[in-house]
Amino acid sequence: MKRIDKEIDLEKLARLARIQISKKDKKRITKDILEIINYFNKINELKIGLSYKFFHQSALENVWREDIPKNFEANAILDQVPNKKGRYLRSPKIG
Amino acid sequence: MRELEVKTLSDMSIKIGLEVHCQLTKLKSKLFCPCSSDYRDKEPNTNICPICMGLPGTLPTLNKEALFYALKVCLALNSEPNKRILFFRKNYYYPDLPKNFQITQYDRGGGVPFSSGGVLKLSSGKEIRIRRMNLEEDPAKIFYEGSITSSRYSLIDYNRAGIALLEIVTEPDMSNPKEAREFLERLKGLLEHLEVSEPDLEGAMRCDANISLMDGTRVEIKNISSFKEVEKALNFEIARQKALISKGIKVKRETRHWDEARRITVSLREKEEEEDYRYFPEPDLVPIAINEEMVKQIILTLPELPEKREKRYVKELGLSETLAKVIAYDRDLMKLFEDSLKYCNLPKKIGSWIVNDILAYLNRKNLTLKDLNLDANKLAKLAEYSEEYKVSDKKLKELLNELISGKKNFLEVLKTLKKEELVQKDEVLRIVDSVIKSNSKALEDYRKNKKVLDYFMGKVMEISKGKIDAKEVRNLLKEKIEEIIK
Repeated sequence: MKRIDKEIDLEKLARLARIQISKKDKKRITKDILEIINYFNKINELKIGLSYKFFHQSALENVWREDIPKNFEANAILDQVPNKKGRYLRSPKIG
Repeated sequence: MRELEVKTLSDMSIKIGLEVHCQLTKLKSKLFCPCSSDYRDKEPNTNICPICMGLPGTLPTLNKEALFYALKVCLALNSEPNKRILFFRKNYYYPDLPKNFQITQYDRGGGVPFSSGGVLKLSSGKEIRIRRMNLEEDPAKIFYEGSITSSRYSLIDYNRAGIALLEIVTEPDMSNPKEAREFLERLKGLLEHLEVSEPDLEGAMRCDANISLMDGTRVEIKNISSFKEVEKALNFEIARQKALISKGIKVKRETRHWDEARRITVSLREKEEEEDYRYFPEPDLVPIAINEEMVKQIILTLPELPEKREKRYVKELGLSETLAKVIAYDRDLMKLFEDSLKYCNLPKKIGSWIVNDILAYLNRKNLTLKDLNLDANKLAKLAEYSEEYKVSDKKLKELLNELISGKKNFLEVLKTLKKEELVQKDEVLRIVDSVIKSNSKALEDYRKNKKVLDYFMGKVMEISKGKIDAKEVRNLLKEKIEEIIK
């Protein structure tokens, strides 16, 4: 198995995930992510191609519902939201 | 040297491709959950549920009608639906996605688009090829406290999150911004005809464009809100790229944002690359198998498509190609036209009124047909009366315009028509009498040669400046003269 040990671009990953990583955590997270990548590399050794047969475990298909609207009690969800302004959810602005 | 460059620049080939996102607004519920899709004018975050909010433990289920609507559009555009529909997760972290991924479709990594190929014809006959279509969910709407630049927070309304979107991607077949605009107008007309969408609703039809000059670097323009804006954004981008090329600067491959207020495109600082989206098959949605039976069933529901309708108008109703084209591709005009023909059999007259008078008026005033209080029945009646009453075309146009603009109501127009007819008849009688009286010699000649009637005709028409009906004048003249010489 081809192992990846070199430095990964953690900065880019952090940017995509919109998180900040402290210097202290950087080493530990890099190690974890390398583990994950190498685990997937192991899976990639299986020559299964990209057949959709492997996408789903069940043999089910054409599971759908009719176009009938039914509203949920939205306030029950809003009540769980920690940061709101009026009925809007509020989050830090992401540029 | 400089001049030579400028000349080649003006001739340079332009390639424009479009990526249109159209909400299937005729659906009653969202794409993967039963929340109502009627979100416009609703309080923020009222049409939300654990599924579209991406709460743990929830499962999305496909709206069957959405699948059928998408198939309808496929078939109308001659796009080949894939036999097996799969959904993928497109991952990116942005507050408009409650799940941090969008359920969409993907044509790589083992996926297939909803459909491939297809074509939409422009009025010139040019065919714009469709590359693919995908069914996906709309993200939420984001607002800012204060302005987008100064605000520290995003305010999010998830009512739109999960609304069914049809993504239609074209090949770069359009060679100028006008063609791009016409493509969108035709596509809009088609979606309306199919009754799957109301693209005029705010935000219901949005579009990104990519453009390259002289087979050079492709630049993508995002955030274009309307057809007029597409043309403006593309024109700006062409000018910008031409200026760069003429200065010998290479056009950068990038995504730009159309700033509607400033009328310019601006570079987006950072944008994910394709691989950053980490597409993978959506494990929560099972594949959908499209079978022949389904397709047949949908073909039966397809209405007459504009292209076919246009041909029928020319062949069976005798409309000119210009009139047929304009009416057949505009759903509102088409409806007024067809409805009017239910009450009268005067397609040419009605067709001409709709395009030359009604549409011209709407364009002048920047209105839509819905803004006018016109109904097909009245239009048909007016057409019939106008055939019956001998009123000059000029007067009739005047009355029609007064009806369109609402200056006169239908009854007033009718009264005027009748009055006009009486005035006209009096006028004709008066002229006929005076012409006969002042041409006693010709009257004598008439006894020998009936062709002298033409001489009288000429005189009458000359005095009335051709404003009256010739056939009627002839009959009246003959009647009067015969009476005198008896």
